[in-house]
Amino acid sequence: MKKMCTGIFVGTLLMLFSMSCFAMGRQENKKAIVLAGFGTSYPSALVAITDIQKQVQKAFPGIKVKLAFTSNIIRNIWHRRQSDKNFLKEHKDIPEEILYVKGPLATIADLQDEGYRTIVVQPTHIYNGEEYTDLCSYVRGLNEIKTIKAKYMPFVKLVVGRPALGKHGIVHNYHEDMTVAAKALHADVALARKSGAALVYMGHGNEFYSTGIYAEFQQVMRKMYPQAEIFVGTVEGFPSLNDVLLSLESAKIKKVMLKPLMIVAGDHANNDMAGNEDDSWKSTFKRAGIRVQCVMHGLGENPEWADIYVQHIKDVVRDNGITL
Amino acid sequence: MNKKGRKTIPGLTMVLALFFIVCSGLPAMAGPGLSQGGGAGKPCVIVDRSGNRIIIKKPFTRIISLYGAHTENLFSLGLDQEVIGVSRHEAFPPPALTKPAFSYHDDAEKFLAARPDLVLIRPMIARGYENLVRKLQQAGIIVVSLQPTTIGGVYSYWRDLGKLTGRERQAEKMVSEFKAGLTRIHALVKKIPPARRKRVYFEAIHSKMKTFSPSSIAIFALKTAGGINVAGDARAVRGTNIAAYGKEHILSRADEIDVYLAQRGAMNHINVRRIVEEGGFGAIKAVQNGQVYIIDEKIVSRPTLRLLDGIYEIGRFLYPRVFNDVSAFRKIPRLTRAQFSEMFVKMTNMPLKTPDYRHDILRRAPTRHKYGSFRDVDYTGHDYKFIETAAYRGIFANTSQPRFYPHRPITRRAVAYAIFVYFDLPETKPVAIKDIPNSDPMDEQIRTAVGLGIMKLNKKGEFLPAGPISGEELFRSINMASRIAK
Repeated sequence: MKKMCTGIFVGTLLMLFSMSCFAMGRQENKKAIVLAGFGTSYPSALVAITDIQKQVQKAFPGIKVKLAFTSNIIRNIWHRRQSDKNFLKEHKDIPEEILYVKGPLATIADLQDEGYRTIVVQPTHIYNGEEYTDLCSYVRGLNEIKTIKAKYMPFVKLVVGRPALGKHGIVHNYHEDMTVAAKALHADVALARKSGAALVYMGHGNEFYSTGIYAEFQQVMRKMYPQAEIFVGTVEGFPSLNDVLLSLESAKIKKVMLKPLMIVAGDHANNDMAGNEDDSWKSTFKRAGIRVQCVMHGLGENPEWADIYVQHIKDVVRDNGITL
Repeated sequence: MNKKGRKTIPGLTMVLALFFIVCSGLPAMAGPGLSQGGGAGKPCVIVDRSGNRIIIKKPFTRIISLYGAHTENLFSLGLDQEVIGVSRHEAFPPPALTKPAFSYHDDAEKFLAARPDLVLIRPMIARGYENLVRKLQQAGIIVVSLQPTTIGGVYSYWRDLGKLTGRERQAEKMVSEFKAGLTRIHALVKKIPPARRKRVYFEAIHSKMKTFSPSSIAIFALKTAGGINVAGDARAVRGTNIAAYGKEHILSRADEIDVYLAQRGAMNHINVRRIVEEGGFGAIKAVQNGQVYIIDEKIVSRPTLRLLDGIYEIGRFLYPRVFNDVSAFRKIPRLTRAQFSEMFVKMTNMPLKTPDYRHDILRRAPTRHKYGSFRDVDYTGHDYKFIETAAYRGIFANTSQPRFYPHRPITRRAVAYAIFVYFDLPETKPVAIKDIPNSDPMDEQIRTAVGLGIMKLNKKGEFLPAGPISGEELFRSINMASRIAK
């Protein structure tokens, strides 16, 4: 009888324990990569983003690679297309993931929900500016979550890779990042030289951060390709369109190849760069007697540029003791 | 003066009511004083879209307008001084930029501090911002809600504005000016045989696949320009200008749509690329043939005199040969800068530039020309739209100057510059031009035009950069540049 009672007691305890475990759920630790960027609503421009994704997937086979778009407007446009039979019929090649694309927070949360607790967020940003800072802030916020029991922490590791042109700090020398980025652009330099044109890049920049890195990148490019005429400017910030124009005039440049220093050749490339109004980059140069050849391809379409992000994922993984 | 009754008194009832009020000598319900408006010394009455009856004993003289069309029309009535405030996005006519900005999001106190005697709104504001309207009325300010939805209503609306401000004669002048403009457009459209008339889908809101109701002002503009509305079966949404249509419905007419026209404005942020890449739209004939056009909503949906510009612009999209006819210009021996602008814009079928919103204009760099800022251009006349289009396209150098000199002859130097900026021209072999030194700031542009045979030198090998150009010469130059650029 005593044995029976002890048996019932132990059995009840085990049951209670197992119930408790069931209630909290057993936490898995799968690994995933999130590629976060502004996004685009143009199906024809999407290739710049999906190409990066394919390349990252190829470098990390077996690891889930998800896209996240930071633009609310762009996500909404894609979501509306989910039920648009005509759109789906005409764009069969568009991955379902794009139609259901979410912002970085929701993407990370979904992955965590599915048992991915080691997540590498790799921005497709060009430099350490506003969007990258915000993304880091999101991730920092999530990493602040502290559960009572360590085993129920939502993430084992949640880390952010650095943008293409690197970031401040001593772990990864941003000068080296810029050198790698400059190397990745050799085809543009060759194309411009073949056309007898100076190469002008239009970056995004911003008005409330120092964008001096663009000027520095211009110098890196010039040093690497001394035989070419290279200029880098930004839509917002320094060097401005006017700065670039003054440099072109001072160098007596008569022909330029104009290309966006952006992942996607979207609205900025179509309007600010190649638009018809008098304040577009193209019009401004032509008004100064400079011939302009616009190249409407985003950096994401350049596999060597996509490789930069692959490498930055490898770096952040190694720095944080993660094995992918 | 501003009765709270919400029902409009229609037709005979209203006339009888007015007769009774006037004859019975009842005091005006509100009004600045003795009659000056109405012309005959007796009060005028209008009924606004909220159903309020407004008896006007004296013209209103301190007016805040919360709708761009009201503002534009008040200026057309010559009320530059009387307008003391405009809504925050307004930029046309140019003096509107100098007026303080108000919004229906502002506190009533801001309005009261400006001491208006009339605040002009539209039904959308009356419906959505009742509190503001009530507070203004309680403070004794007359609030009038107006917005016509049909072309017949436009004339009445202008006349109502005339009554409110004592400018009935000017209002009649607006009506007759508009009708004269329509007559000129009818004469052009007459040249197009009915069998060649284009069938058009006119997009109002892309994301919701909405078009315009058949009785709307925008469809009036389309039809007047000689277009056939393929969405004639669309039904208006809640009595507005907008009509639901749906993508399936549009695509069921894909073969019929010769031209896809979309308005762009606050409620439709659209561009050609987005339309072309819209799922299923590849089946639309207009998309296949590159016949997708964007037009500013301010010139097709607003009841102003610029609706004539909108009609004209639609005509240029549909029938460029007819609407861009420059044969009269070819006979001109010495083109002025204004004539050059019109001829260039027409020959290249350049879309007309319309004024941006206030914040866009103010945001432009100080060195850039701002729409409406040429002191010597008449912004109520014919030429300004071509001049501004050419200026914003960048084909004139030095447009940051306050004067445009529209009546001065265009120089050959300026023509070479315009051609270089507009067309993507190839490089040429070096050309010797006697009177153009290498140091000339327009050396590249002039040598390109001459080297490609677009512009000729005289027998002495001179370009004569300061010399004039004839209409025929410009006609030939633009045609040749166009062929080379292709």
